[in-house]
Amino acid sequence: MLGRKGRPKVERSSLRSLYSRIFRHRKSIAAGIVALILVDGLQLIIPQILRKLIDGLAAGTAQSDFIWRMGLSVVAIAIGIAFCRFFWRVFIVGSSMRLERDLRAEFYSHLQKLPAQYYDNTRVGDIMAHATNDINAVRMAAGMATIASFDAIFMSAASIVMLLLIDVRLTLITMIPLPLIALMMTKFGGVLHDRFEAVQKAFSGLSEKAQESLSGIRVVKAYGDEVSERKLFAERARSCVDENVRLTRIWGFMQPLVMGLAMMSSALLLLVGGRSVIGGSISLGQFVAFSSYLAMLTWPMMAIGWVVNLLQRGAASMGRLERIMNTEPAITDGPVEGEPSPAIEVRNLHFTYPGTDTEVLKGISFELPASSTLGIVGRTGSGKTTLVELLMRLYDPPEGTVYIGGTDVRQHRLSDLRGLFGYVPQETFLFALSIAENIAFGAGDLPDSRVRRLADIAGIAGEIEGFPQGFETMVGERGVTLSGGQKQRVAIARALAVNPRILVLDDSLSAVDTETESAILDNLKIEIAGLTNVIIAHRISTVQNADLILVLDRGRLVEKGTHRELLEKDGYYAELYRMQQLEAEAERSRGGGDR
Amino acid sequence: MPPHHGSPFVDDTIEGKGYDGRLVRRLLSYVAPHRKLVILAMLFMVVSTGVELLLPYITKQGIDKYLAKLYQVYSDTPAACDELMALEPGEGDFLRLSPDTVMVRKASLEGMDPGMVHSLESSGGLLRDTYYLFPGDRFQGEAGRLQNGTWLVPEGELSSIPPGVLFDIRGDDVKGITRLAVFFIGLLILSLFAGYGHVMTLVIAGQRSMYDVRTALFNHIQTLSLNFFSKNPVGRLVTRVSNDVEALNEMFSAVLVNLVKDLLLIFGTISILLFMNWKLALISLSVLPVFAFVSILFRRKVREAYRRVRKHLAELNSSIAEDVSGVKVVQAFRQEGSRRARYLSINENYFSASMKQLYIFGVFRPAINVIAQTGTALVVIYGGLGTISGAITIGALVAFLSYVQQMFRPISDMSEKYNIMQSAMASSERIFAIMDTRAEITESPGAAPPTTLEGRVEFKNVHFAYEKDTPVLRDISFSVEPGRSIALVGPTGAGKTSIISLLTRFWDVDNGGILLDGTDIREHFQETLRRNIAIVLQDAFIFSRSVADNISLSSDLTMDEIRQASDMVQATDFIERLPKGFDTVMAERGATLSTGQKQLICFARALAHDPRILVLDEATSNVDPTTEQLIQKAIETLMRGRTSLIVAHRLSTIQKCDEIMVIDSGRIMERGTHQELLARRGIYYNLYLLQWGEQFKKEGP
Repeated sequence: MLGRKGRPKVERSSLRSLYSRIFRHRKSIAAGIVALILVDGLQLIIPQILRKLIDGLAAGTAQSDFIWRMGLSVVAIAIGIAFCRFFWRVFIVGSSMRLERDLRAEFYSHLQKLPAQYYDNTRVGDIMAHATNDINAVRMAAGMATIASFDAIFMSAASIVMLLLIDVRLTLITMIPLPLIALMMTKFGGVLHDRFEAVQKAFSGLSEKAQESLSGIRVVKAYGDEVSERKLFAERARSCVDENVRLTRIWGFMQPLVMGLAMMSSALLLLVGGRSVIGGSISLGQFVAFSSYLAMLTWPMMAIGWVVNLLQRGAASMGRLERIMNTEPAITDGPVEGEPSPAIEVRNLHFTYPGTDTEVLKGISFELPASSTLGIVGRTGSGKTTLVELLMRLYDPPEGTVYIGGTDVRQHRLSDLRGLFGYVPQETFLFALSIAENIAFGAGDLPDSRVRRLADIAGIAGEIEGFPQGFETMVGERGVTLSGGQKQRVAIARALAVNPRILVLDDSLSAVDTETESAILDNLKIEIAGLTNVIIAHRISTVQNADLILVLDRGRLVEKGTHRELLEKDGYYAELYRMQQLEAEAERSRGGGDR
Repeated sequence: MPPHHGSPFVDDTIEGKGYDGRLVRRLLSYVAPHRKLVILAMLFMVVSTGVELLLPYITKQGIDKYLAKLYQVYSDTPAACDELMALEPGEGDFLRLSPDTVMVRKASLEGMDPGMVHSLESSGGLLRDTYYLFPGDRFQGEAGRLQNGTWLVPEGELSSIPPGVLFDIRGDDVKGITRLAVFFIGLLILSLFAGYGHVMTLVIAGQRSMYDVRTALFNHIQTLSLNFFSKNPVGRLVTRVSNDVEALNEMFSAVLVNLVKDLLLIFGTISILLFMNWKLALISLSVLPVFAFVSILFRRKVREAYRRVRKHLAELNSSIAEDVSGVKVVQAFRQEGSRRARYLSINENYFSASMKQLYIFGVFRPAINVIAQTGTALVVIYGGLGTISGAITIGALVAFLSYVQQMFRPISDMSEKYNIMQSAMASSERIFAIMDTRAEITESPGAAPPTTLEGRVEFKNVHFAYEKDTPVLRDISFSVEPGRSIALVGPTGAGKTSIISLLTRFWDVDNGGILLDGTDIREHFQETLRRNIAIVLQDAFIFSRSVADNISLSSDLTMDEIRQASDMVQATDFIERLPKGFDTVMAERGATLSTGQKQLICFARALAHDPRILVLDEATSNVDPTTEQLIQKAIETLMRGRTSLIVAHRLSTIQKCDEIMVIDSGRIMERGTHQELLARRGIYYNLYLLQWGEQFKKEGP
């Protein structure tokens, strides 16, 4: 049945791993199944009671105390059913929720291990779709499909036994239409699935079109292109309509047909069973009971198709999740333990981002002893950020190119390596936490005084204290929106909080004005004196005291040396320096930083 | 920044009323054009529901009329028998065996006044024993007795008669039950088609209505001003057009129509019950108030629990989204552990909220079932007692039981449908809120008919702010003669882009005016602006349409004209290298093209529209030297003979303009030619050194 044309290709392995996940909760699920079977068993007793009642009434032997007894036992059984129902819900559905919780945890933990390059090639939206839709489908397969299949198996088995006990021939005849239901459900299931997918596709086509068209609203408006965009959107909306109607053509027929086939059993009962009653081979009461048991068979027959569907979807989703969870984290621990000394060496480093074919770094080599400062300058897109991200192994450099403490970075344990660094990225990313928590982000618990001190060094303490909630102010949607400059300074405090041996400042003061920048830098100088520093900057003034300055251009190291050496070279760096001197003069002549 | 804002994974609130007459009426106005289909659907539904209700009744008829053909003996004085016979309830109901004996059909007692039945019984005339009656000449002595030429077989002794004899005697009953079964099958087939017709017509009507809502909504959004777009992220608007409309559809198909069906079923069942036996009906319905009370209580609990689950789920999702977006920071700071702990605790909260919801369902669902079963039990007890007293037939009791069990299903379904209803109401409220937003930029009533302009542009004391109290442009005045060009330069955020946005009427000025050929742009027909102004935006926007379509957009340009425009900006070369040349359909946002190529297509687009006025917001992105040269040439081609307003970043572009205007903080700071401004040694001079110093050095001033 699986893997047939028209069905989603479900690999056996994903189905197996779905089952093995369900199997982890076997005890609770088994208890739930027991409760479920009890419910079904009790449910079977009700027609028995009704039969006894009708027979008693028909025979005229029924007395009022008998009738009362029958009525009260209906209530008693209903209460029994209610109890067992509660338990199977809690046991089986509860297990599926536990499974969901564990799966989420596992999925998340794996996502964390995947390197930045994985996220460069995967959209956040896709990951979210896995985290929502796929996990849901797995839960449904574990919960609802388990319930429905055991329920269906037991109910149909029990009902058939009861039917057979009443009359074998009648059972066989009246059951003729029922397997047809199961057959139909499985037969059309594949087509149904395809059409359902087509509906989904049409729907996402519609969303995409709306997304594009509304994003380009300026162009649309400027060129008066509304009409043609409308037409295109209407086309997508029309295909949504068509696909839905196409789906309904099958789905809409199945529902009544299943009901019809089930009722056909009743018709057969009336025809054949009625003769048996007339012929005296079964009593009127048995006839009535027979009809109830027959009605009980309808649901399991419908359930079979549903279960098959749920399991298929669950397995397909499990497959997708597994594919992600089986993606080996490309960047893993090396064998060398212990914290390396913060000396950096780069040897003929060429780097191309995985999955692309443009080389962004072309043969970079330099050496930086511990406790010295490296300055990197160059235009946007020259490879500066890539270079520092390779030092921390946010991306993996080729083997034998990047050394920290004399050992290839790929040989270090990740936590040892990254533990050296305090990183202030170019694009500031703060979390939806309080400012204090953001500052202490990498350091765990920090005393308030330390947080305050770090903020002070980064030149942001005063501004934070001006907020109504001070350091407890939430960042993000439910808190204040910090300005670019404020965020950058919080990020600097965050980097200092981890007591780094290597501090990386990637254009970290681009959003503050020159005066604030120099004030912060003066402060920092004292703090970072003993550290190895890597400073990327646009302003020469920021890096001119560095022990080594690299000038990058389109991935190449064009110049390298100290400020003095580079000025003497009278190349690109010297040019840049003179220009910025001019600029500074111009600023001064205009009377300060009034832009 | 944390990615919460406008994230599609954070649910919109699910608050809201379950039913709002105003909204429903408005929704129905979209259904109205398809009312024929809806009426047809209703007809189909009435048929299929009718059949559904009729089927148990047919079974009852079969049992009473043909299967349980049972009679009771009534013996009294001939006068009393005459009196009874005079009632003549129906054919074959009363048979006079002898002057003092009447055989009374058990089923017929149901139709009689229970009081009278009771008096017949209590007088001792009507006996309880039930008999099958067969013709006396067939009496063979296996069972029963012969009385006045009629063979009376007690119900319990029927099985001792050989089936062959029975079928022979009861030939009419067999025929009758066969006829009934055939009728039953006929009805089934009818209901099958009616059911299919119901679903099909309903889906078609619903889908078409939603199509109307969707296109109307989309078309309306298109007419709204950019002000609206700046306040509503595109993602949110897309959700309105896609998911919210889908929620309406769900309500339409799952609720509105099934609601009618359910109500019909409920009231139909209740009427049949009342008609069959009103006393028993009332007794079985007595559980309804309890049922309703528990359902309402349940609904409230469920809603609270659901809200908590959604809240935790939203947290869970935004937490994943945040950590995935900030993965570099998490890894660089080795905070995988702490972030994981945080995520796991949210996960745990979500789990316990889900479990709580599960417990609520676990308690209430079965409770509701117990109440429904109590209704059945009441029927068993009172109906059973009624059967003994003869107030009700067994067949009626059987039918009654099945009707009662059938009645509670739609009632409990209704509370579930309430949830769908609620979210649909919230969706429709959001949809209509957009529909009620009026476009701020509208056609002036006295607008001149579309004309071709000469191209004189004048800004007169223009003031403008996107948000109150943060002015972006202050007192901007300048004019450009037809065919002349002006470059706008200045730092980011100075207001350059705002100036060109106002010229194209993306926004309207707060104060002052913009004149085209001496007439305020608000007095021009919008078509005039479109016909005469072409704009090239910074982000070269490419639609997922063919290249030719991207150039011509909605104007009817011939392929030659398109090609000519593309030739002039030298884009034909790379376009023809695409798999299908000009007919190549672009990926979303032109993803397969390079930035430079996209820009060239946008230039071709502007050129193909042959505007009098060119508005260009130059992109700053770096492109390779070859493309750079192509772009520079293309800009030159575009400017030729046109009034041009250019937000310029390239030195080459600036130098090509007749005049340069330096904008800073929303004001015009300097104006003049390149040489004049350099000589002034002012802002332009500084900017120039800063941005183009390198080139300056190479090329010389």
